[in-house]
This record gives sequence, structure tokens and C-alpha cells, in this order.
Amino acid sequence: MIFGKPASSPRSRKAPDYAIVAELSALHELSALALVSDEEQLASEAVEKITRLFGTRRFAILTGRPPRRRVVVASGFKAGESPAAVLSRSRNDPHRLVLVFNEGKEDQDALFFEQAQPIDKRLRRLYNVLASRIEERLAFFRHEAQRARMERDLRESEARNRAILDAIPDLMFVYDRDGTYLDYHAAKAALLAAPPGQFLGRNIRDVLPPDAAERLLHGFSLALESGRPQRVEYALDLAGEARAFEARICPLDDRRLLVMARDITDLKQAEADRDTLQNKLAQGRKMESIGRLAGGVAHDFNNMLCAILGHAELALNVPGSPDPVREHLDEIRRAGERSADLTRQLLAFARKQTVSPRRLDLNQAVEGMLNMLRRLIGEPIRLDWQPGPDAGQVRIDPSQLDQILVNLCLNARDAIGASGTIRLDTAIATLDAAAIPALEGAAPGEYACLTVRDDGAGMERDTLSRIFEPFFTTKEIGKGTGLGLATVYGAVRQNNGFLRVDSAPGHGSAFQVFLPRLAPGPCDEKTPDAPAPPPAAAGHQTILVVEDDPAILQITTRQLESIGYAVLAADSPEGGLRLARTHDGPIALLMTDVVMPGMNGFELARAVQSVHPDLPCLFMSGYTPADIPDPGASACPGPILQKPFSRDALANAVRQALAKSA
Amino acid sequence: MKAGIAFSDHSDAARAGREAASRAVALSGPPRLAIVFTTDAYPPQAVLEAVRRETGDSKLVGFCCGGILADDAWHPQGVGICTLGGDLRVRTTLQRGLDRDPYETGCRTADALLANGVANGTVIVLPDGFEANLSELLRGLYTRCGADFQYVGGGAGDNLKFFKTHQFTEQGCASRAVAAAVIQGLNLVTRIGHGWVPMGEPLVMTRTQGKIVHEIDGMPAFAAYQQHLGPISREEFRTRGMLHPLGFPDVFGRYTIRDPLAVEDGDSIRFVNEVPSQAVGNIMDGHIDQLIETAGKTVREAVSAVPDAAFLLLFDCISRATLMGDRFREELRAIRKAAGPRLPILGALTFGEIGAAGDVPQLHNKTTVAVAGGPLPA
Repeated sequence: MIFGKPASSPRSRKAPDYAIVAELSALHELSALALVSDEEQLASEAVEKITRLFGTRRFAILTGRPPRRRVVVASGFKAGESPAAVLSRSRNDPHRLVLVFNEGKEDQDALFFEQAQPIDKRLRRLYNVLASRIEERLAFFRHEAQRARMERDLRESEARNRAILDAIPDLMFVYDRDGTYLDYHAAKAALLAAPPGQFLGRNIRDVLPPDAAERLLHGFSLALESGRPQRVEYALDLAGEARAFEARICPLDDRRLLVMARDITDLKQAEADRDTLQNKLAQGRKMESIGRLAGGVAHDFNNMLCAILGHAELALNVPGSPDPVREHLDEIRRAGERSADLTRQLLAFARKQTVSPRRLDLNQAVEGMLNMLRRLIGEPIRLDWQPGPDAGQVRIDPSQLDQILVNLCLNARDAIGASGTIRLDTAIATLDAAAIPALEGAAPGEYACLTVRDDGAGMERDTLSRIFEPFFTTKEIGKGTGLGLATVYGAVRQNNGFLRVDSAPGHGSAFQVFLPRLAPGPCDEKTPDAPAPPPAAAGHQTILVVEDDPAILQITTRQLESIGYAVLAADSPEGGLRLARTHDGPIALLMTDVVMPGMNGFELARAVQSVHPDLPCLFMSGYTPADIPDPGASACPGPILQKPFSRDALANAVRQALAKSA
Repeated sequence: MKAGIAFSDHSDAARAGREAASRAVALSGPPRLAIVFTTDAYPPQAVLEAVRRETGDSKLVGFCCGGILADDAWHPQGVGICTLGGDLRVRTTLQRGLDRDPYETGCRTADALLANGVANGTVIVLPDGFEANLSELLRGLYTRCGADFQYVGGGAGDNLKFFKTHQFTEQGCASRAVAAAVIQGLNLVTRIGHGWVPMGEPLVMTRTQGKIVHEIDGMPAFAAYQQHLGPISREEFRTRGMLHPLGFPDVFGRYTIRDPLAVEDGDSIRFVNEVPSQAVGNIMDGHIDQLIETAGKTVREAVSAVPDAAFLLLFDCISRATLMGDRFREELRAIRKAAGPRLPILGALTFGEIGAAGDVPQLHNKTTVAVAGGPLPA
């Protein structure tokens, strides 16, 4: 109570001046405005108190400056009437009072009061008290609103920062310049070298291995000196696993640094894998290029050999040749045959051998070659055979498997030198995509693995990268052609397999041959070796020969004529077709090269058969069957004679072709 | 303009309505507005139908009250009607939901009255006097209508049974509602007065809740009263409290009265209407003579302000009649004397009175509101 309680009945005391009491009561009530908690309550209390205590006809409280002025509360205005507009016209009206706080500023508050009777000095004083109470609350609410906004902004900023931090998979540390851990953030605690309790507040030298700590501290110095971020790599052992980290060191100020550390172990591994793959890709491309070159050279050389061997053969068959001449001719023939062997090996490397793959049991096939291999490598070197149980079956031409084993064992023998051991073993290998060198072209799956190991000298890395290149050899000149391992490479790749080599100087070598393992099934019967062609028998028919290589056309013509055939020779498909149309007599056989400019042999055969129906055809080619274009369903069937061919092989093929048409 | 005032206390509601209406219409001519007061014994629908047969398509506004002042007497039961004819613009509205949201109801009432574009005039407000916060009703009304209207009226009652009241217009009849009318084209002057005077030192309503005052000056309200009135019992407070309402002054020294009803749990005191929290007031003292004199003075001021006054409406607090008992006749005589011998008078004993001591309508208790009406000055 304001004035104290009467001790006795109030009527016994002098009554107070109720005019003053009324005023003081009103003032006391106005002080209660300090209890309002928000603008809405202030508006409500203002309406109640102003209308009751002052009987104010109209009043308004506005806050802010135009154009952002707004009405906190207004009473007594008509709908659509603007308190701000009324206020602006009220400055000199005795019935109106306008009180403005913080005029001209953004936090300007204006209060407007209108009474039916003129506002006297006393009333103005009371209105001033009222207005100051209201303005105090408005200022408080503004301050609170600003504080709430700042708190909200801060919370949002912290939440945003937290979300950003949580989204960053890296480790973050704050250090002082001496390397003491001040703070950290870790999305993955497993990447921490120690629990936070064991490193916060401690020095980096006490937490990390010396090398890592010193690298980082060096980075700290550089960052602080230069003011620029520094990058440092270091390694840690986490749970027994070596991990590589990259740290980005950023100075926060002259005493503290922010370090963001990222686990780059997988990245480094991926980079290493990428380098490996790129090397293999380059190696593979090189081998492909060499293979194409080798294949192309072999093909062209085969054509020349055809002429060389053919003429040598013809010359040797001339009766009465003097012995010295025959001797030279023999040498020419032998050299030609050796050259043919070389071209066959080159073709093998280029995967262009003519092969007949068969289903073989790998262990049985190897076992069948052991005696021959032992003879080949000689006695001082031991040959151990350790077959893996049920290594399985593979599909390969047996002659190619022979090539592989012979060349690998000879290579091992040469690596061993005087004495040592060569071990052969077989096993099953199930490989997934990650295990298979991607550039080998092999698919994931099950393989039969044949391994040839030696305890010889081993190879340097540089040598290893080139061992399958044709003509590459570490032996003295004349001691090796450099085609052995190239042949192995070609044979393995032609059968969809791949090779792996482990070797190191002083540790021997191990060559692993992976061939696709077949599901169990009956092995194919061994085809007897083709018999040597019988001596040429005499013939008499007319044969149309078409060949765009003049040397081969000449020798083939001579060889046929030596056998007794009449030959119509054409050096182009058009020429051949013209002869077929214009020749008066019968033509018994068309013998044509396959790959010719303008028209291939099969197309020529169809064209000639339009003139000579059912004319038998014999095709000749220096390409392997795989490289010969598809004759098509309407082509005339006919055998293909591989170049280079001997006179006897030619005669046999012609006779067989003529016999079929008879 | 012409006014007609009539009363009937025929026991049949329809008959009473017809009698009062026909006599009033005979005096006013075809009315533009009929102001109807009933009491709780008269079913309002029956009264209305009968009245409307006499008043035709006139607008109508009314309520049931605690008693009717007519023919210079206080009638506990009956039907009183004031009909107003002439070139008047009248709009009425009956708004429900007063107990749920009095402020919004006040706003809707105002919007309804202003719908035909009337910009000034007198608003007669007749709300239910029991349930709602009528101060909030007035705040809503004033917020929408503004300062260019004057406001007068009172709260409906039912002879102190506190059971149910009715409010009505020509649109219908409702409870817990407000019936209101706005009139243009009349010269209406409103004056209020009560005659209560402050006693003792001011008191701070330190804790209130609506109509309940829990604490005065930090102590239980009843205890605070006892400090001023001496030791009295709760039962005695029912009568002693009637003699000593609270009054809350404005800066001009005009007191708004709040009438205590009874002591409740915790020595809180329930009042007839809401008491503002942290309001500063006084316990009031009242001499019946002073009350009577004030009533007369109020009427005189109203009537003298209207040249050619044609009628007088009164909204007089029922507790004045209850308090004065037989002496209430003296108030009525004082009123008559102040109004003049021929001025038709119709009054209602109300639960809360609506009028403006200054410019803004307030809710009053134990107060006389006088509305004198006449033609607009030429």
C-alpha cells in the first residue's frame, strides 16, 4: 500500500485530498507498465489504462520512422483512418498532444493523445509520465528483439558450422605454435592416433611418432613464417595398419594453427594402382604394336619365302645340276626353311598361328612332355614335376602347349647356367576382377595355372618389362633369336590366357601360365600328325592362277607347269575373270590368292563360276584362317593352301581339289 | 421526431407486449426504432411477436432486466417500450458468442452497425450482464466505431436470480449475446453519475483475476476490507460490501465503481465486473441521500443539454434499488423532478451500466446512466 493503513476508522482522520490521490493513483498504475512482457500486452494495458485513467478520446502509439513506421496500438480511430496521418496534423492542436522520442532515428517512438477538452499543463505532465513509461518498454522490447535475433543468428551460425564440421570427413586440430593440441574435431574417431583425453593439452611430440611430429612441426613453422597454408604428408600406424595422411596447415593467428588432416591411404593406393595399370596399358599397347608389325612382316616375308623356297626347290629338281650348285641351292633352301620357322614364331607371337585347339587334361599333357623336356634341358639341371590335384582341363592346340613348355624350360635352363632345378607345377586359380591385370583381356573366373620356376640368376625389373618383346634377348649375339618368350606370350594370349612373372636378381624366376579351366568333359582324341605330302604326281589339266604378287605368281606357275599342268596366269582379279571368259578351252581349276586389291579370291571365284559353273577352287593365302575374310554363305567352297608351300604340297592340294570335282 | 413510452405489467406476455407497444406507437407514430425492456417473468419471444405486430417493420432492440422504471415507479415485472419515430437512421444487430470472446463480439457488433456507412451517432449497447467481460466488449466496439459515436446501455439481468438473460432485436432473441442499435438523426445526450465518495487511503489491487480480487495491498482482499470496515463476517459482507464498493479514479478525479458481491475461498472477493490488475482505488462510501441527489443531478444535466427533450432513458444499477430499498422511490422522485413533469421516462435496472464519464465508454457499477433525447437542433 502506498500511503499506509489507518489505525482506526478512516472517517476519524482527516480525509486526504482525493484529487491528489487520484493523480498519484494514476501515476502508480502507470508504473505497473514496467511489468508488461511483450508489445501485445503493452498494447492491451495501454488501452485499458489510457482510456480508464485519462478518458482519452483517441490515442496511438507508433514506432519507427517512415516509411517503416508501424502502429503498436491505436484506439478511437475510424476504420481506414490513419493514426500516422492524424498525428502529422496534430502538432498545434490544443486538444491533441504528440510526444516523440528519439526523433529522426530508426528507434523513433511517437505517441499521440486527443481529448475532448484542451490538454492543460497538468494533463500534459501526466501524459509525459505515461509516454515515458511506454517508451521505456518499447525500447526494452527492441533491445530484447535484437538480442533474440542475435542469439538466433548465433544459434543458426553454430548449427551451420556444426553441420559443416560434421560434413567434413577430415580431422581438424587446433594447435599452438609449439605443437600443443588445443582443440579438435573428428568425424571418424578411428582415425585419431589417441583418444582426445590423451592428446588435448599435450604436445604433438608426446602423441605422434617422431617422424610425423617433426614433419608437422616443420610445417607449423613454415606456415607461421609465411602466413600461408602448408601441406605435409606423414604416416601413422593405426590399429596395426599403416595409414598415410595429408595435413593442410593454416595459421589462425600468430600463435595458433588450424590443421586439417585427411587419410590418403586409399588415394595413394589408387594412385599406385593407376600407375601400374597405365604401365601395363603402355606395355600392352607396345606388345600389340609389335605383334601387328611382326604379323605384317611375317606375312609379307612368307610371300617372299614362297618364291625363294619355290625357286630353290625347282632348281634342285633340275636334273644334272652340278654338285656345287646343288650345294648352294640346298643352303638357300635350308635358310629359307629356317626363315619360315622364324616367321612362324613371329606369327605365333602375333597370335596368328594356324592352330587346332583341343580339350586337354593339363597334368596329362605336361606329363607327356617330361622326357622330351629333360632331354632338352640336359642332365645337370633337375626337372621337378609337382602336379596339382585335378588341375583340370584346358582348350589349346597341343603344339602350342609344347611351344610354351619348351620355350619356358629353355629359358629357365639358360638362366640357371651350370646346375640347378626347374620346377613345374599346376594348380587351380580362381581369380576375381581385382586380381586379374586388367589389360590382359582375360575375364574373372577359374584358371588352370602352369608354373615354371627356376633357381637361376633372376632378372632386373627393366629386363622383366621387356622379356616378351620379339628379338629381345640378354644373351650374346647368335646365342638366341629373342623369339622364344615372344612365342610363349603369343600362344598364351591366343588361347585367352595370361602370364605372370615373378623374378628378382639372385632369387630365380617363376613364370605362371594361366589358361581358362574348362568344366570337366571328355578330352579330345589326339589327332595324328598330318602325314608329309606324297611326291607330286603329274597332271595335265588347265589351271587358272590368279595372284597379285608377281613373284608368287611366277613361282606358282612354274611349280604347276613343272608338275605338268597348263597354267593361265593373271596378276589381278579382273585379269583372271577376263581369262575365264575368253579362254576357249576347258579350265579344270581356279587357284587364287584370297586377299587381293579390288576383289578378294572368294568374290573372284563366284564371278568365274558364273562363267564356268561348278569350277573347283583352291585358295592360297599367307594369312592365318582367323584373318581371312569370311567367304560368305554363297561362296564356293574350297580348301586354303597356306603360304609358303612346297611344290609337293601344292601338287597334293591341286590333285585333291581336282579329285573332288571329278 | 416523436417518442412514445409505455409500460404494461399484464401477466400475459403477449398482452403486455401488445399493450405497451400500442400505447407507445400511438404517441410516437410509426416508429423507426423500438427499445424494449422486459423482465424474467415474460418470455421474450412472446413479447417480441406481440410488439412487432404493433411496430411493424420498425427496428427493435431490447433486453430483459432486473426491473423496469416507468410511470415514476419501479416495476419488478413488466414490459416497457420506448418507440422513436421520425427521420432517423437506425441499424440493429444481435451478436452471439459474447461469453466466448467479448472483444471479438464487440468488433463484430461494430462492424454490423457500421455496415451501412453510418459515421457517427449513438450506440445503444444491451449485453448479457452475467457471463462476459463487458469491458472487453466495449473495447472491441470502440476500437471499430471510434470516437465519433457516443455509447450508452446496460447489462441484462433477471431479478437477481443470476440464471439467464435475453437480448433481442427484430432479428431474433438470444442469450449470452449483445443486442445493439446505432441511431442517427436524434440529439442524444448521455450523462452518468453515482454519488459514491472515496474513503481512506488508496489501495492497490495487487492480485486480481477477472472479477475476483485475490489481494489488496498484498493481503487477502477481504482482510484489506476488514482493515477499513472493521471486523465483519463473510455473511455481513454481503450487505456491508454493498455499501462500500471499490472506486477507481481517473486523473480528473472521476471514480468508476466496482460492486463487490461476496467473499470467496482464500478471502478473495468476487465483484460484479472485472477489476483491473494493479489498479489503484479506494473503498467508497455512500450516503443514500448523496446517491439520490446524484441521480437527480445526472438526469438534470442530461435533460438540460437537450432542447425540446422528448424522452429520457435510464440505465440504473439494480444494486442501487436493492441498497436503497424503499428509499429508491426517492431516487425516482428526484429523477422525475430533474426531468420535468412531462418528459416520458423509461428505465431499466441493470447489471452494469455503460456510459462515458469522459469520452470513452466504460463499464460502471452502482451508477445511473441517463440518456435524454430530442430532435436535432435546427
